[in-house]
Amino acid sequence: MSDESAVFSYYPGCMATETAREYDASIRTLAGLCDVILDEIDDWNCCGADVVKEAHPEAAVVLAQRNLELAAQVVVSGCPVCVRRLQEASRAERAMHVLGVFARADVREKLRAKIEATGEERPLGSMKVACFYGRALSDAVLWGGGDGPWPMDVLMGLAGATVVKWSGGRRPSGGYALLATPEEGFETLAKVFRDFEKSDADAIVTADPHAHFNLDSFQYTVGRRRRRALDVPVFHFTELLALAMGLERADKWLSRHITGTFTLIDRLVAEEDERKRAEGRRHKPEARSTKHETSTKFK
Amino acid sequence: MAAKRKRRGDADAATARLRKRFIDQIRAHGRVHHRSLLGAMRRHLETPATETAQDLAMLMRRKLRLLPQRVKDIASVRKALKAAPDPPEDPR
Repeated sequence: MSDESAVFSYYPGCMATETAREYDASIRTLAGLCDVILDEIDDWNCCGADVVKEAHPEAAVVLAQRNLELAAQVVVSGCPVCVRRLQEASRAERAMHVLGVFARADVREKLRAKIEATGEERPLGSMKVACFYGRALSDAVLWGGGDGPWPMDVLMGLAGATVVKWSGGRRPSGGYALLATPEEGFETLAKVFRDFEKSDADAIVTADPHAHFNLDSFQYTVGRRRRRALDVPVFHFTELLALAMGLERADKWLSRHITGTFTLIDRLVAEEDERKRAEGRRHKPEARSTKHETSTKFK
Repeated sequence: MAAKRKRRGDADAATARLRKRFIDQIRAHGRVHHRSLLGAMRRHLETPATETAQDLAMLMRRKLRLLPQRVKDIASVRKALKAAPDPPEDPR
C-alpha cells in the first residue's frame, strides 16, 4: 500500500469554500496529519453540479474538463457531486471522493496511530452515529470502492463511534433542487429525520457538504413544518475523526454548524467521565485488597 | 387535476429560474455564490422574520460569504459556457 501515491490535486468545490468551510478545513488538516498532500487546483471553477448538467449537459462537461486540465494529479474532492461531474468528463480513475483517500489502508493506519496516541480508550465515548451517504454517495465508483464495507462506516468505527443500521442512509437530501421546490425538498429531508428518530443514533454523519448543509441548515424549518422540534447534530465525518484525535480546532469547526453539536458532546463527555469514575471505584477495592495481600505476604 | 397541473407548472418554472441563476453566477464569477443564490430562491421557504434570523445566523457562523469568489481566468469559463445553448426562458 505504501507505493500508492499520497499526492493529489485538490478540488474543494463551491460549497466547501462557502457553506462548508469547516469541512474543507478539516479535510486539509487530516490530510496533513496523515502525510497526504492535497495540492489545490489553481483557479478552479464550479463543476456545474446537477443544475448545469440537467440544463446543459455539454456545458457541464466543458466546465469539469477545464478543472481537469488544470490538475496535474488524480483529483480529490470532498463533494460527491463534483467528483461525479469530474469522472463523467474524463474517466473514473481521474477523480475520487476524499473518503477513498482516508479509507485507504495506509492512511487509515496513520489515522489509527493518531487516535491511539490520545490514550483514550473510547475517544468518542458512547457516541452512536448514523452514516448518511445520500443518493450522491451511494455509488462506490466515487471513492473507488468495491464490495467491502462502506468507507464512512469503517472510519467511524476507527474513530470509536458505534455505527447504527438505519434505513435513511441512502435517501436523497434534496440538493440544489430544494431551493427551487422547497415543499418537495422539505418532505425529502423529513423522511431522513423520521428514519433517524427510529434509529438509536445520537447524530448523523455525512461526507457530502450539500447533504450537510440541507440537513443542518434547514432542520429548523423541517421541524417547524412537522410541528415537532428537531435537534439532530449533523457532523462531517472528518470532524468526528478530528474529535477522536483530540484536535482542539475541531471546536472552531463545530461552532459553524447551525444545529448545535456541543450539547451532545458535553453529554457524552460527562457520561464517559462518570463511567471512568465508576470503573475507578470498582477497581479501588480490588487494588486495596491486593495491597493488603501483598503487605501480609511481606510480613 | 388543474391544481396539480398548476403545481407542476410552478415547480418547473422555479427549477428553470434556479438553473438560470446558477448558470448566470458561473458566467459572472466562475463559482457559485450561495448567499445570493439562497437570497433569490428562498423567498418561499420561511416567514420573513425567520428568514432574516436564519440569514444572520449563517452569516455570523461564516456559512455564507458576503462577496462571491471569482475565478481569475473568467474568460475561459465564459468561453466554455458559450459552447452551450442559452438557458431556457423563465416561463413566468
